[in-house]
Amino acid sequence: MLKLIGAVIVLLSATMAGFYMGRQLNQRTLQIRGLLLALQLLETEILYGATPLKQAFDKLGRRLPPELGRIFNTASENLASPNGQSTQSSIQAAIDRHWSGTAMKPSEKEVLMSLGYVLGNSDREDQKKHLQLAMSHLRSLETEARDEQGRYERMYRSLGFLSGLLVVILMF
Amino acid sequence: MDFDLTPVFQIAGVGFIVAIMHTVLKAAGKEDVAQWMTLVGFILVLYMVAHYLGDLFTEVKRVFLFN
Amino acid sequence: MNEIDSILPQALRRVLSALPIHIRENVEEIRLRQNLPVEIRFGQQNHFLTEAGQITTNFRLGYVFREELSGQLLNQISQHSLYALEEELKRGYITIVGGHRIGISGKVVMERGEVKGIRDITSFNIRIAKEKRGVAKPVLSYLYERGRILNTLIISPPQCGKTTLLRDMARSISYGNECSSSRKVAIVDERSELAGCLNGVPQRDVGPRTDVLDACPKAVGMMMMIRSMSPDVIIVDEIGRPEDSEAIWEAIHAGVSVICSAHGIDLADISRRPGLGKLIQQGAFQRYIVMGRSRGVGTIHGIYDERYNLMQKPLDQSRNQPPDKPQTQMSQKEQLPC
Repeated sequence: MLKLIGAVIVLLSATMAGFYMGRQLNQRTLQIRGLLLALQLLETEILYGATPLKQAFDKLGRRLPPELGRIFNTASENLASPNGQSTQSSIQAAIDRHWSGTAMKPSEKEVLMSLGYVLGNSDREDQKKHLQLAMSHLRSLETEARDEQGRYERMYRSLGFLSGLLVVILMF
Repeated sequence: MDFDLTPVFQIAGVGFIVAIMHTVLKAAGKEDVAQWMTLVGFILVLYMVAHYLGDLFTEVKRVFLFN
Repeated sequence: MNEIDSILPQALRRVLSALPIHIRENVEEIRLRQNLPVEIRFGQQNHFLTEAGQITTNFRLGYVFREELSGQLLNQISQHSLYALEEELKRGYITIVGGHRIGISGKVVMERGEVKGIRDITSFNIRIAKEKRGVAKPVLSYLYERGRILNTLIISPPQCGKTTLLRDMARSISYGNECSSSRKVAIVDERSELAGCLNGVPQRDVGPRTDVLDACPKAVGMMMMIRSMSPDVIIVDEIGRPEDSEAIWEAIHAGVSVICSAHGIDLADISRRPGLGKLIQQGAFQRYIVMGRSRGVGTIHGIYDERYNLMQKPLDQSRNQPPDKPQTQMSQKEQLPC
């Protein structure tokens, strides 16, 4: 009896792990899309509003889903801190802190980090170029992520269930 | 004679599941992982079989050498 | 000082806060140059600042403004967003909260023969704005005639406080004063000096009935203000270009009074200038106020009426007579129009 319950628990958790992995893939696509939207908004703010980064980040933080919004909120807080942190380190620290909460991969982080080096320290045209570059980068990453999602999402789910079954059989 | 069929079913189950996993991984385009998966499954089964064979030999030893 | 403090890097703030209070309160300028000692100006004197917060004339003892501090300062001034300061970088100065101005210089970036902005900013000149209320008080009574504000030209060499006077006039007219009730004032602030606008909000007190058109070319701005804001008086700083005269005439014909200022030593000097001279000969102005610095910044050397008659002798009768006495005909004629 106890063995049966154990088996059910093992099977269930393995299945859930599989579903979680699949969902991460799904989330990654969504979050990259969110990030693209964020950069587009940022571009508008910078180009047409000439809004200072802090206020622009605040706006982004409010409009984006919480996993992404947190990054921008923290960046905005860091920028406002009076201890003379550079723009770059403010942004990068924020990314570092909240990255684990997102489903995105290091390649996306790389894009954001490199944007952190240039954000705010040149004129509008230059900023636009950098943002466009980052966006095109992200767009290619998005297609890649969507492709991956289509292929691997179901695989992860069935693999999770099957590995659970395997463990159960071995334990019996 | 009491004959326990559990090991047979176990081995069959492992083989079955490993086969399905192989198919799933291959369908997703991860042939290399599928190969490794099969290899691991094979080693697992081999280990189990070796285990049972070891049991068999000790039994034979016990029967024929009476010690 | 608090507004300035909030943008300075911590290290520099600490040094400044160690200054004796009488110096600290009277600092007029803080000059920061990358990898050179910090210089402060107070009470018309320039001194270097030591690390312990003492003043010195020996620049070798000065506290050196390091490169990383300059980066931090720039970040604080621009709120980490240089792109928001494009216009300011083109003009070479930035206005911050409180109306203080920071002049900058560094490597200029050109584009199609025009200055596009400044990169690699290495020098900062923080000019601390001080409100001087009441400097316009002695001249106010000359500005009105039968309830109408007269067209007035303020003539002064640079650095003699004419912008301060203009600002105080705007404030007094806008608030209302003993000569007249409050009026609608329009300020066209091409160089953001009069109102010291930050994001369009005046950082100086220019009165409750004052509209400010910030960073707008004077001639265009005056026309805009006449059309859109129906002011009683338009106040502009430093006129002199041909199109300015045209706009001034336009305003006068529209029934709007104009108070403006121009660089010059005295009436004779200014009548020789091509654009302005014509304007004066045509009788655009009814009052001329000549300023100088014979007895400190903001000395008023004389007020003249439309026929260049002296209405008021130097307000601050000084022992040493103003060296630049107007050469135009001036018969003493006392009248109080108010």
